[in-house]
Amino acid sequence: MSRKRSKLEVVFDVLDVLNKEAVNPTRLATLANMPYDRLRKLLDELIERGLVMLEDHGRSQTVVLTLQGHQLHEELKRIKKILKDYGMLD
Amino acid sequence: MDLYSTVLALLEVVGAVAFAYLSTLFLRIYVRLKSDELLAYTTSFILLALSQVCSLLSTIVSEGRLAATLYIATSSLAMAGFMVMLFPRRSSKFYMLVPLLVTTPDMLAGLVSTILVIRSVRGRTRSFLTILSLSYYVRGLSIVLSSAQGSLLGLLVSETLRAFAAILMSLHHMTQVLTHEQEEK
Repeated sequence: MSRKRSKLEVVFDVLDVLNKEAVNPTRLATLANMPYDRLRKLLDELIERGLVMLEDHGRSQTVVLTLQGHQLHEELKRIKKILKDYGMLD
Repeated sequence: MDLYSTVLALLEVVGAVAFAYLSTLFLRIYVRLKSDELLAYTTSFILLALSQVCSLLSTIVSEGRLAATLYIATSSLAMAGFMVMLFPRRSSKFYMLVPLLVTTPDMLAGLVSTILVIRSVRGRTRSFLTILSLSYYVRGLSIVLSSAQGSLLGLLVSETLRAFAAILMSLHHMTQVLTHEQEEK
């Protein structure tokens, strides 16, 4: 049985996906492997912190990493190995 | 300082700087994410950096007792740092071990201060230090009790007792200093 991901792991996975491409929230939930409602809550938090933003395209929306989000992703990558060593990331 | 001590001191400095760097890196990410786990790791790296500093100072100072004090601080700070790393998540199943680990330094502080009271302390300081010593025993016990019962009453009583004793003792020593200065005049 796989263990439950920590919030940090989930954030890292979300930022990792968004660093590669801007996607709509539904696709992001699939790629980050998490329920849609949980993702929406997390996105609200990340938007509030200025790490991601939602771009409107008529009837659809795309989640995009902001500059701060890119910086945070880079910083998280720098400590990724340490977090892996301590079992905080898979 | 001989060659061995110099090399050891240099290694301690490098270790302290490295841990300090790591803690600032983790702190920067924590400020952006406000994640509990990152705060735990930031704290543990800060404690490990401080532990390195204490270790460095313990090798530098020539006075034996001071070196021993710093030596104890080295392991105490490292233990606190490792403990945070051991339980970075609130849901950790080993969380129940925390109270027992936390109790250990309290009980030791109580024991050492009791020995101090019995062996060498005189006057009013003896009474104040006894209260302080007692507060550490109560503190240690109440941590275990509060984790079992969920009540923080014992912990609050012990903290109040400890703060009260510490203030009385420090004010007593302040008064001793001030009255001595007046007597000198």
